Amino acid sequence: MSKGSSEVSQNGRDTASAPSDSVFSLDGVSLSYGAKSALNNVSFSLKRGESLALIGPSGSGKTSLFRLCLGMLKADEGSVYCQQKDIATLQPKDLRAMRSQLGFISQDFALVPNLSVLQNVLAGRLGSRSFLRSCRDFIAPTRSDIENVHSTLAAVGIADTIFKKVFRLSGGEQQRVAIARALFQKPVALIADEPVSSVDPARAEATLYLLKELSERHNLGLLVSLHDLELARIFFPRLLGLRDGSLAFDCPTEDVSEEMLLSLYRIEST
Amino acid sequence: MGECVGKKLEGAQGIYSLGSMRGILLLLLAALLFSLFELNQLLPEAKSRGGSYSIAIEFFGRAFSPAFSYQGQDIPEGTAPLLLKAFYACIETLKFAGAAMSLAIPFGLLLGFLSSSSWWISDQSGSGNKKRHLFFRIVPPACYSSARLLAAFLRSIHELLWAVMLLAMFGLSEFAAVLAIALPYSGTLAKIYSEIIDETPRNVAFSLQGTGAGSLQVFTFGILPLAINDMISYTLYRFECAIRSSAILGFFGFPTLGYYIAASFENLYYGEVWSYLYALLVLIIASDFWSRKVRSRLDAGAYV
Repeated sequence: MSKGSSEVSQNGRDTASAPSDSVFSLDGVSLSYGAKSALNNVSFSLKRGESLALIGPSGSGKTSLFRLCLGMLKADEGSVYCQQKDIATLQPKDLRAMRSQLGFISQDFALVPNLSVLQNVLAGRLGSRSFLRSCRDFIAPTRSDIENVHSTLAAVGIADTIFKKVFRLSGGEQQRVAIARALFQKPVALIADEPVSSVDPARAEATLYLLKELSERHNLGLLVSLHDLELARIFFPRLLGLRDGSLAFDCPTEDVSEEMLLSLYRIEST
Repeated sequence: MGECVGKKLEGAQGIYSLGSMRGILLLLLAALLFSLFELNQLLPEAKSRGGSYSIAIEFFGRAFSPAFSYQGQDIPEGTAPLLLKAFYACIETLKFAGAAMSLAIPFGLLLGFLSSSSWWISDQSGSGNKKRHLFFRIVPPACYSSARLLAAFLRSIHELLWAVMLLAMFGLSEFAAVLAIALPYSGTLAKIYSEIIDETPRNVAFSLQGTGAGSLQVFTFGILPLAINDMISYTLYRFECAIRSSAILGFFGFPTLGYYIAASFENLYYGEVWSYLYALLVLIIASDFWSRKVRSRLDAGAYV
């Protein structure tokens, strides 16, 4: 972010540009890695209880967009707001607090295989705990911690795995542990980076169904990147098309035509 | 011409790598021939300096008939039997190795963590302030460089050389022996620990950072648990090395296996020498057996 725009943000732009009911919103965000542009003037917002699928070819900037939403990258231009606060103006402590409200589920689950399911789920709460407190949680979790993790695991249907090592679980169960960890954060939104790219069709549907159900039950914003257009159309009422770092479309699913999708995934002849 | 070269490059990837392999093999063969030639030159010279095939044959011949009792005639009364003495020497060897490792591990861990490049995961977002940015620009690189330099210094001096220096400083004390092993080993452990940590996949760390975890939390709960099994495995191997080093320190007069090996060797009691060498072998095999057990339990996820 340029110095000028940062000053504007600090002078009260925080609430002016972000929709008041949004979990997070991007306002004219651009990002580049050196000379390579990753995102160009991207704007959209996500409200609580709203679910949104991000589609687009590989390398279109989906992961960069997620990193921006999580406050792990700094935009070159534009602003990213999380609950009406401009991320670029947040102090490290506030940034951590902001991140702890966004549950992130990565494509490869990002679990520690030689730790128990309980410890992996407890890791979801690291952002709201001091270092010493989190050490104590890991070594000797309290009864209430165990009960909370148990109920979170029950919500994703794998309560009986709580004391098992993660590497002993199936791929599907590991994915649910990753979802449980994100849910354990008590987030305002879930962000899932291609959660069904490496699973069979039946499990893909079950995973998306679970994410949707959790989003509705807990009134969470849900942002999911997907390669499977059919699933995106079935499960999500709003689609975001990203191509070459630019937003190709942002509209209700029923308004997305075949031509728009073909254009999104067109392969340039070289 | 250009096209021709291009086509060759396109199609000859396999042949190219085969060519390099041939080159490496030829180089190794040339090195072997050179070594044999040099040995042939040095052998008569060594023999003329008092070396004898007959001594070598006698020494290695006793490998098949190690002594079970003292070969010397004048054994003072009350001296423990040879095998019992070998057993005590093994215990002493283990004590020195264990004490050295108990110092080397925490120091190696500290240096290893500091000399790992992933110790401070940079946070590129947020506003921060100038002091914080300055701190992160100066302190982590300074810590990293100092730790790497110290680790390199410690391990660049062999334990025998450390022993010579520390003996001069502290005399023939057990402290000097333990420190002589602990110092270079902490340097070696630090290097390997930092490499293991740096090679650990970053996906969990990234994900935990996304939950709002701080650098220390990300390191402790996202990187360390993934690296710990390899670190334990390597530490067990270093313990085996420490047993050997501890035995060798006996040549300086410490009551480990090396002390008795040197004494028997000087008296030409080769049978006794082999008894002590076999005791050392048993110690190493036992340590290997134990470390294999630990490793298999690690693989089964028993500890972490």
